[in-house]
This record gives sequence, structure tokens and C-alpha cells, in this order.
Amino acid sequence: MTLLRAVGVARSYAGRPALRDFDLSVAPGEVVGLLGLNGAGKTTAISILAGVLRPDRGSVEIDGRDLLREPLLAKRALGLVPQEIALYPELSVAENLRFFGRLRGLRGRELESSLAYALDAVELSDRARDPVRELSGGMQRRVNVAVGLLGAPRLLILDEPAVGVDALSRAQLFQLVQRLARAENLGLLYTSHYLEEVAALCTRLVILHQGRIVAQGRLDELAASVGEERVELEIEGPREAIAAALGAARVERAAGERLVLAARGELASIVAAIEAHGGKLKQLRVLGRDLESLFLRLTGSDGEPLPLVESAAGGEVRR
Amino acid sequence: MIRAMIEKDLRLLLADRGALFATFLLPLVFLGTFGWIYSRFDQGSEEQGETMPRQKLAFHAPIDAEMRARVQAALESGPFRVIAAGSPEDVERLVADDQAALGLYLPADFEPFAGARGVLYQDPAREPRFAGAFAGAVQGALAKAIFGPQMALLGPRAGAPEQWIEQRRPRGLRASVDLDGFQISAPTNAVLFVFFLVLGMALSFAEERRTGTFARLRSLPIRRGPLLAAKLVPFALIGCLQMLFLFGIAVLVFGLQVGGDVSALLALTVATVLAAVGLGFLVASIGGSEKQIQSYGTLVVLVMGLVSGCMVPRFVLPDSAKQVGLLTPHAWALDGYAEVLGRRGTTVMDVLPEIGALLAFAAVFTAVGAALFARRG
Repeated sequence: MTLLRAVGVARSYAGRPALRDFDLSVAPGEVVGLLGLNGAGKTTAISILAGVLRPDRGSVEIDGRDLLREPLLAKRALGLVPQEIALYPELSVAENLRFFGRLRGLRGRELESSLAYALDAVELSDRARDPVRELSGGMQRRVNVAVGLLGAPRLLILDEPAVGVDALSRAQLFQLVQRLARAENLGLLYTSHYLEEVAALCTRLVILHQGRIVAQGRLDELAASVGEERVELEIEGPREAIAAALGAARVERAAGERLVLAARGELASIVAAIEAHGGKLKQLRVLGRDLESLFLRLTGSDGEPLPLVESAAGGEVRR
Repeated sequence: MIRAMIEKDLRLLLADRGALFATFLLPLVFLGTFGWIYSRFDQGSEEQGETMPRQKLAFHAPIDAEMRARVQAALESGPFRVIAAGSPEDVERLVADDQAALGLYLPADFEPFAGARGVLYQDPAREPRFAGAFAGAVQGALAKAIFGPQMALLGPRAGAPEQWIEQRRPRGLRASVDLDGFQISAPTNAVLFVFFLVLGMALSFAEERRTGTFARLRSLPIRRGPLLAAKLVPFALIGCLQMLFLFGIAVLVFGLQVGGDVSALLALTVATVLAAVGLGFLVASIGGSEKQIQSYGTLVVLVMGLVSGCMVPRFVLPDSAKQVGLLTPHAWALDGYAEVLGRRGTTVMDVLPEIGALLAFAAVFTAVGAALFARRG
């Protein structure tokens, strides 16, 4: 059973591709993290998956309904929590919820019970009558989530829901997300550009870069795919000769005085090779084999992005 | 859904004192101030002996060609611009349809000394301050044509010139109500300020985009057409409330007279509001930041108000400016209100051209706005 299935989705703005060959699925009880730097295409992807924007190509199904052909039925199963605090600050919490609930088609007792459930979920039942503008930023974020819960959606898309909230509110939000997935069996798609956020919450991770998925898989798969430990060296001396001596195959990147290469547990021999060629090691940094390294590597934040290959576990990573 | 949107927007409006002031009180202040100023103009001009405004005069005279030319020249040397009419009925119709302020018919046997008089058509209530003066000017022109410029030296030969023409109200003419300052300031300010809805609407769309509420609304199981309609309806209601409030206060407090049917006033008001809402949707679809909308939106609204006659009354504008003004919905609305408020017995049928033009503006603005909106995604 899949709650969200996107296949071959693409979208361009004025001929400039913002999203290409985007495939994604979310199952019930699963929290999928969509991770990418600013401008990676997350907002375009979210807008398309939420039915706000039409794709140029590809298809999106929500709870088995085609979002383009049956938008009303598909959207019934969807709750969206936009990145902005998408509320009317002059209205009270309850008035906001009631307004969006009515627009979802809820009426009477059904509306009131949905409203009570949503307020209870975000632990704001006692603030229902307060104008949204009088709440703290963290509480406003929670009301933002509560609106997304109205009408019992099966799939909840949260677009950077923890931006600008304090540690306590963030922890409450994380607890809520985990509860929704585990206890309510909702499918959640959670976007962020903070790695620790998605690492803490998500069961599966999709990394988006320049409009393309550059990696996706379970967290452990992706961490394993980082491969061997790498080191970044800053050297003085004949860099090309040193790189050749270290072996072209293990050198991942060379720029200026810096070399990035696979460590293979041979730091001593690396230093010896540098000195043997009249070079001097100015600085050495171990890049490690964690998600951060993978993310930086995949998104080119520590250099040029690498070509896309299939991971052993069925996901895809760049090597 | 529409009810929920209306309730929400009305709650937001009521919570926003600035918007309430700009929507209801500010136009009222303008209406009252301009009404008072226009009323002072009346008094001032009487005190200062204001010259008569130049008026269109429909003219038909199947008389001797040389005499006709002399009469026409004498009329045009006075406060008249002569429009040729094909028949006496034509003369009467042109005045009744307000295409000419006055009409002069001199029959083929026009012989003032023998009692065969001409006919002067005008609505005495149209320009009450000048009605007598216009008749006098026509009689003076006739005397000048017959006796020559030295007429005054010759003295009366066969009756006074005022006996040479008979004054009549044209058939089919609806009587005018007395024109005072508030008859002008009420419709001009009501129309000017209802078009400020354009800014409110465009800013509301921009704000909903910025705050993400629009994305949230689009993610709900609602079709885009009804969603947009639901977004426009509250503004249409607010516009109608604003107009009715202003006209209501103008009637109750400032003594505004509604010469025509209230149904005609309501129909014209609804059409005006729809044109304003259509323009608001168009500006909202063109989009931009809230600051940009504030700048170019204000410019659009003020320029349209200026050329249409909302700031300088239309009857004061030269003909060319009046024609340019017709490119704006404001001018059609003002022409319609001039009829409904100023002419007794005006019905919806009498202002159908104005209502039609306003609805056409509304349709074009909305269609172009919808196309732009769809293109933006």
C-alpha cells in the first residue's frame, strides 16, 4: 500500500528545469525526509505533490487517486503544512481551524470533532480562543500543523515545519510527527535543509540537488554508501606529483592546495608520500563516513557533485 | 465554501480598523468636504457673476439660407456650439437624449414681427442658474442676426425679442433634480473609492501568497474556479456595502436626491462594483510584491479616477477629455449616476448602456485576470 507515488515528475520555470525525473513514494507509518539545500527543488516538489502546482510531466497518486485526473478525491487524503505560518493572525486559533475545516468540506459535529482532535494533537486546546497573533512562534507553528491534520488526512506533507522555533517547540513537534506516523499510521513527507532534523525523524531519506534526486534510501543504507573514510589535505609543494604518487584512483578531487582522497587507513604512508616528493602537509581533515559527509559530497558542498549510481541496497547514490 | 470565505474576510475587515476607516469613513469625509466645496462654488459664482459655460445647441431652420447662416454665426459668437439637426423632431430628440443642452427650431414661415415664432427646447432644471440666461442669449443672437450688431441703437420695432421664441420642455425629457454640491460629490467619491477595492483585493492576494495561505487553500479539495470566485465574492459584497453606506449617508445627512428608481441605482451600483472587482482581480493576477502593488495599483486607480471625472466633475471636462474618460469604467458609472440621481423617473432601462458597459469592463478584466492567473500557475 502506497499513500504517495510520484513518477517521472518534472517542472520548469521559463525553460529552466526546477525538478527533473522526480520519483518518490511514501507508505503508511513511514516518515520520508526530503532533504536539499535552498533552491534544490524542494518547494517545487512539495507544491506539485500537494496539488498546488501542475507538473510539466509525470504523475502523482495520493492514496491511489491520480492527483491530476481526480484532484478533489486525491486531495481529500492530503494534509499540507506549508513552510510559512499559513494562518490568519487576526483570527483566533479556533476560527482559523474552523475556516480551513469548512473549506475541506467538514460540517457540524464532524467539523467540531476534527477541530478538537487537531487542537489536542498539538496540545493547544486551551488556547483555542486566542488570536493567532498573540501566540508564540512555536505555538503558531503547532497551529500550522493542526490545520494540516483537519479532516483526518492519510498523508501529511510538512514543508520545513520547524523553521525558527525554539528547542522545546521543536522537540514537541518531533514527538508529534513520530506519534502521527506510529500511532495514527499516517504517511509523512518531511522536508528540511537540516540534516539532523530528518536524521532524527525519518525512516527514509531522499536527497534532492539541483532539481534531481541524487540519493534515496534508508538512513543506514545511505550512511553505509558513504564508503570509506576520506581525508582532505592542504599541502605545499608539487601537488600533481604528490597526487600521482598517492594513486590517481584514490584521489577524488584536487583544487588549489587541497586534495580529497580515500584514506584507507594509511595516513602515515600518505604523509610519507607527500614528504618524499618535497611537499609539506599544512592541514589534514578527516571527512568521516556519516550522513553529513554524504550530503555534502552529494550536493557538491565540498566540491563538484558526483555522477549518479545505483546503491547496493536498491537506493541511488552518487559515487 | 463561499459563506466561509465571506465570513472570514468580513471578520478580517472588522478586525482591521485601518481598512474600515479607508473603506467607509475616508470616502465619507471626501464626500462631505467636496460637497461643501461644490456648494460654495455655486454661491461664489453668483457673487462673482460667472460667465455662462459653452453649451451644445441643436439647430434646425428651414428658412432663407443667408438668414440661417447669420443666426448660426450669431449663436456661435455667443455661448453655443451649434449641432445641425435634420428636423424639428430631431431637435427635440437631441435635447431629450441630452446630446444637446438646448434646441432651436425656426420654422420656414419664421416671422417674429408677424407672431410666427421659433421654438427653444431646454430643460430649465438642467442648469438652473443659467436657464434664463441661455434663453436670453438665444434671443439676443436672433436679434443680432435680424437687426445687425447695432440692434440696441434701433430700439424695439415689433415686439420684444423675448416674444420671438416659445420655450418648451422637450417631450420624453425626464425632469432634472436640483443640482447641488452633494449631487456631484456623492457619486464621484463613491465611484472613486469603490475602485480602491482594486488595491485591497490585489494586496489581499499578494498577502495570501506571501503567507502561504493561498498554497494551503489550493491544496484543499476545492476546484480553482470556485475558490477564486469565493475569494472575489467578499470584495464584491464589501464594495456594495461601501456604496450603499455612502449613498445612504448622502441621502440622510447631505440631502442627496435620487431622481430615478432605486432599482436603477442598485443595478448600476452592482455593475460598478463588479467592474471594480474585475479590475482588482486583474491587478492581483499581474501580481508583484505588496510594495509594488501599492505603488502601481494606486497610480492606476488615481489616474483612472482623474481622467474619468471622479476628481473634476465630468460636465466641467472638455469633450475630448470626456471621450478619453469613457475608456474607464468610472466614467460610465458616473454617466449612469448622473442619470439615476439627476433625472426624475429614470429606470433600469434608461441606464442599460452604462450598466452594459460596466459589465463588459468587468467581464474583460476578469477574463484577462483569469488567463494571467492560470499562466502564473
